[in-house]
Amino acid sequence: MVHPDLLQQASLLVQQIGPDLDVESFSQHVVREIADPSRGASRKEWSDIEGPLRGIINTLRIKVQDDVADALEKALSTLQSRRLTDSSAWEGEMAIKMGNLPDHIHFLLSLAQPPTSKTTRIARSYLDKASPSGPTADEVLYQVIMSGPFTGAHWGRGYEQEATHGWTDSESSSSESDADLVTPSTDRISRTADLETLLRGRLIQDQEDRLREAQRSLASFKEKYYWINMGQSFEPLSAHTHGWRSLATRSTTAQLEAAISKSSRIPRKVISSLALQRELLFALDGRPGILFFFDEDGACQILSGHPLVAHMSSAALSSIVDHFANQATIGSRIRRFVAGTASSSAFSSRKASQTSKTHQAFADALQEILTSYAEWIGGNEIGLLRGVKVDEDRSTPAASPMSLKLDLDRHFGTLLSRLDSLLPKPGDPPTDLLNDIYTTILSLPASAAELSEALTRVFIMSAEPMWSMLCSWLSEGMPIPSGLRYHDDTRVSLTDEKPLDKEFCIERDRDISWTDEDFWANGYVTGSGGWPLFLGERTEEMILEAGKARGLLQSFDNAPLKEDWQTLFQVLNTSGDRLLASTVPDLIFDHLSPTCRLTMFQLRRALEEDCGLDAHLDAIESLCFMQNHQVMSEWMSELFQRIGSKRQWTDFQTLSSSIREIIDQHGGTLMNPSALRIQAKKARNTTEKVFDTMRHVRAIYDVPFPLSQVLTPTSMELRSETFSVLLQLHYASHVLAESRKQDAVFISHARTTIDIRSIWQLRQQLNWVIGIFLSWLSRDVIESRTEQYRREITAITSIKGMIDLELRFARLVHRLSLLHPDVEALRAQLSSILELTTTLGKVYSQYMNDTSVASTFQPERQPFAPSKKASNTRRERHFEGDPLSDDEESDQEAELIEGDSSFLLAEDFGARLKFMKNQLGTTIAGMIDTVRSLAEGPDRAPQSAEDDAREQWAMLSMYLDEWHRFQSEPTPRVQAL
Amino acid sequence: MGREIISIQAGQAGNQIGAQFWQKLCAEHGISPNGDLEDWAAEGGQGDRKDVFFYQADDEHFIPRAILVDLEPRVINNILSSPFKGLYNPENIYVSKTGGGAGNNWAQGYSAGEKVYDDLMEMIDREADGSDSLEGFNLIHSIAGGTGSGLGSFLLERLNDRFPKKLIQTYSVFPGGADVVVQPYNSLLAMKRLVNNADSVVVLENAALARIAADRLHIQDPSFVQTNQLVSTVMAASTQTLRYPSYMNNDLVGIIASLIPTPRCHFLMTSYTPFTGEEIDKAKSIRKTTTLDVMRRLLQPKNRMVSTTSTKSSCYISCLNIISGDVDPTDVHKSLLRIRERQLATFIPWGPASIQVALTKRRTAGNRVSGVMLANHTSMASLFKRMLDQYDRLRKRNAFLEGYKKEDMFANGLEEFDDARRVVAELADEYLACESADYVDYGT
Repeated sequence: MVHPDLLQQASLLVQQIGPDLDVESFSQHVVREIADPSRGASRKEWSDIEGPLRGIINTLRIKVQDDVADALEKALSTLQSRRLTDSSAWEGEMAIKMGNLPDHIHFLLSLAQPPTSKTTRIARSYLDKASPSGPTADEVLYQVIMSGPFTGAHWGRGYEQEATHGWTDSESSSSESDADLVTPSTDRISRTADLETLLRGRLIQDQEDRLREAQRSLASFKEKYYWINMGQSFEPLSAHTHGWRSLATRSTTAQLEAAISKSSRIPRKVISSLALQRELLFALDGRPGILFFFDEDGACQILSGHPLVAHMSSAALSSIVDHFANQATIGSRIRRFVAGTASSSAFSSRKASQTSKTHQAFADALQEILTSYAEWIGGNEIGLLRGVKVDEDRSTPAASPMSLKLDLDRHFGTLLSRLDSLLPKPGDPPTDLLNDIYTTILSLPASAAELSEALTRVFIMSAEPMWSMLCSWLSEGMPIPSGLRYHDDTRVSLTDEKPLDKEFCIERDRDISWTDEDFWANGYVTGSGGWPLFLGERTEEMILEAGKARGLLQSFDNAPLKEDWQTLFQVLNTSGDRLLASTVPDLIFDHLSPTCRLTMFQLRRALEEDCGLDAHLDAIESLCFMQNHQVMSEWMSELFQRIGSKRQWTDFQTLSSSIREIIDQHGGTLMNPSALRIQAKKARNTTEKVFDTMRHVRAIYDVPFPLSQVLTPTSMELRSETFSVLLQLHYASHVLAESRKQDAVFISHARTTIDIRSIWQLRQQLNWVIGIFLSWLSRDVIESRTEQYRREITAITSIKGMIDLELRFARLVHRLSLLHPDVEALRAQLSSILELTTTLGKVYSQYMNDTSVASTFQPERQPFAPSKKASNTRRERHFEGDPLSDDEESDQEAELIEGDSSFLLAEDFGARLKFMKNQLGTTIAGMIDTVRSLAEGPDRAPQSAEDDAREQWAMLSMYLDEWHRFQSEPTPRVQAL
Repeated sequence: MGREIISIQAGQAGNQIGAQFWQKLCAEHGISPNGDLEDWAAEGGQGDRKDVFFYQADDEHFIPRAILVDLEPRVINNILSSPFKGLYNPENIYVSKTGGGAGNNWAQGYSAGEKVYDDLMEMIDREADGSDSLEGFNLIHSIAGGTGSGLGSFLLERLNDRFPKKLIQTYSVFPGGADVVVQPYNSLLAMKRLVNNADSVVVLENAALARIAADRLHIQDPSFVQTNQLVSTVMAASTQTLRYPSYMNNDLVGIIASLIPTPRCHFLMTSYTPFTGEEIDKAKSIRKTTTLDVMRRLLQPKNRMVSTTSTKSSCYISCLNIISGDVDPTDVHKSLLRIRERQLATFIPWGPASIQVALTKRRTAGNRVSGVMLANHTSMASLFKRMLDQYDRLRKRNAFLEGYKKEDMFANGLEEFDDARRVVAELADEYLACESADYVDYGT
């Protein structure tokens, strides 16, 4: 919309320029040109702004940054509402409410940067910002005015409305004191009040008369109540009763039985069947009567000497009474449980804290059934008295005790018996109760559909607390201590996490601390009551993982999962069909698995994006497996030169600081230098064998929490040991390569060409075998397996899966690095070969020392002269920065000779060389046999790291087989090219 | 910690190949013709080591550790008028003031070296002093002509004396035809220095290069530029483990140690596959590659950049394949297994040997996988024998010796020729001896 001033200004401009022009059309043309965005006008349509903002909101929602999305939506709607308030005032002419302006600006400024956890916090506070509350200015003024004391004239004594008769039918209102009340209208109504008092007096008199009559009638009725007289006495059978007709019409069963048995113990009082039926209903309802009483345990007992039933034998009566006593006991026990447990009872607040929530829920479910039971009893009682059906849903009231029994069995008998058997004791684990109910339902025959339905309802109601805890576990996750939640606060602790509900099926193992590497697996575990059966076995791992993942996400300032959690009833009744208990685990799994997967995905993403899993893995592999060849080769080069010059090299400065400096030179953050260090586990002195010392060198990478749960100290230790092996192999390779620098000197000292070529041959063999091991370990083991590991770990969302994979991988590489006790023999063989490399250097030096001292033998033929290295000019200068100067090298040679092993001093050159060749040959042959047996391994599919390594052992075996070719084929072979 | 390598390019061929080599290195490391780092390369994370062959000036420009030497100005002038004129350090360029060249005469080149010794050593010393930890020198030259051959020989001797602990590797172009009539003399004299003063010689033969251009790339009449591109491609590939460190062979001494078990037999042959149009102008050879394809082709004699004649007993002393690109390590193992099953490579009988494989992650243009082979092969003896034969033919007739006799070295006799012949003959014999299981006893 064009500002009206602009059009006006344009009109004035056009008039000034050309009075003859068509002012209107030209003005509009000018305005159009100004407003044209293609000419640089800054104006934008609302849709152009709103569209991208909506897009950002959608993107934020996809990234599950709901808080930021909500906040942005709120800001957008605020903007939109202001726009819609008055479109003409859009240009900023509307009054601005200053109250929330800082919040808007603060939030919008935070969006200028890519969203971080800080942005989320700001968004959250922006969302939660309540509008200014409290009284308005007018209200405050009103309160000030009204707070002053009353100073005006009083209008007199007040009166109660109820004082006027007829206004209320409350009996208490007619107190005598009312007459004393003085009101402004007393005079007006006094006359009608007198009349009404007279009439009321007559009415009361009539009522009292009727009441007295009724009481008289009632007293006469009471005399006939069977429960007062314990039945009605009956006369003995008349002696004149003869024949079946008289017996049937003039006697009762009680009379007959009394006449037949002649027992004095037979009561002489009877009640009618109707009375019996009523007593039975009383008993079922838990009320004592003339037949039953309830003992202290709530068990229904039959009163001795109870009256007979006129037309029922004592055996029949006994059978019925026993049955009902049993049912009444069941009902009573259930009622007592409910009364003792139910959360809804008036005095249960104290008990509720002691009673299990599941038990309470079970009691509530029972209460529901008991209510229905009581209604059924009440219905029968009313029906008994009135003889009519009172409830449309129920069948006709039982007409006799037997029909009552049948009715009871059909509706509640089995159900109550089942429930009675399920009643838990106070200390019983809630999971046991749920399992019992669930298995009871599962064990029901298909025909017991009604019972199954009732029990399922009880089960669902009982399981709701557990379900609620489960939902809480999944939405809030495992409780985390303040130390992980508030990273910046120094007062925080790692032990103050909120306890889980004691009756939850997941519990905290307090023996495991957050810093323990097995915390993820064992910190929170299935409780002692076991995993509830109704959740199904396959959900156990998923739910445990998801809750742990959600808890861990809280430490990344990740909000709890906002989900409208359904009740268990809603979850299990999605289809509306009758629920089959056997399908419960599947329904629950289907319902929970998306949520669990989402949480695990979120954690996986948080581990990658917030914790930098990939970057840490890169750094660890770069260090421990020497995968950053650039940095590690430079570091090793420096280290080996230092070792070569016999300087101290096991100190922190040489091992750790130097690598950090190299990393700094290559870009600082390349391998997270602050987290890594290299150290010799035991302080060694320089006179010890280099390889012995190197065996104790470890590359240590401090993995930050929570990645330390995945990259555990155990796996890091395994990786760091591999570093040691690689270091030794590289050093051996370096020693052999560096020995070439002595070749020229060696040639000049050589007595025979055999000496020269023998030592070169030995060096070539050492070079070959070390090259084989180095390339095999680096390429075929580490590089190949690492690629596979990284592919697999990218696809895993479960932290437990990642932990397992990491440990499996680290153990495999550890084993293939010859570090596992099972391959100790191979490791010893390799160590022997590595030692030979240093021995070779000593032999070189010893030989040259011998020949230079003796200097008696001149070779007949010197095909290698003149030697470039033997020239005197070679010592003229050496470079600054060349750490290994000639002088140092000479010192090194001298020291090597000093440190010679005994065999070097004892034997001559040829014998030494022969000894070394034999040793090398024997060792390599032994290695080949060992590796071949490892490659063949047990004949089964890969199940363990041992089996998994067979492929790599087979590769090594193939490479080493070249030794056999060399050994077995002394004659030249035919060129196959 | 640099382990820097200083490249010295001498003579016409040396400078032409060197120019191509630096162009290729610049392209791989993302260095523009004026030494600036390209944006994509400045982002980091390449894992390369530019400092081996380049250093950075005060203004952060990358400058090759290269010394350009020629006794006639034509080639160097061409370089200085090319887009890469700003790449080199002007202080490292030496062109003879007289500008006459060496006249394809080894003796002239050698004696010219004595005259320009101080100037050249001043450059070399300056470069060496500018290195943190100099590993050695690369000499790029031809042995057939005057400057590369004669002056190159002179430099080899002096470098050896002055830097006895540093490695010297040469990329030496061996003659293939009869462009220069005195090339047998020049080659033989240069060979003596290559044998005695170099630690490693990568042999590149003109005839083989022309054959590869014709057979493999379908370029019937390859230009110098195209031939030099072949050489520079091989040079760049063979130095990849130095510039893009891998798990092994990250330094020159490591490569030499694994390839050259006996110091004297240090003449290496190379193969490279596949050549593409991006590497060689107008080449038409792009094909699908696998690790096995590449490793198999590298072993084929027709891909070797030197023409040698193998006998039934010829064998590899050592063999290193540097494979670049997207290579699965398990493919390497499978390829090695296949090669062994088919007995595509035979090795010396006096020691265990096998094909070594180094992997570099750097992907080559056009193809998924590419590879270079550096091999020490006993058939190299045939090259030396041929060289001796050509020399003997001329020497019998005392042909074309006038030019040599004019120089001080030969003024009093031609013993230097005889000595050089003896050295080359011994080398050829030693290579042949390597084919025997009794090599250790050879010479007793």
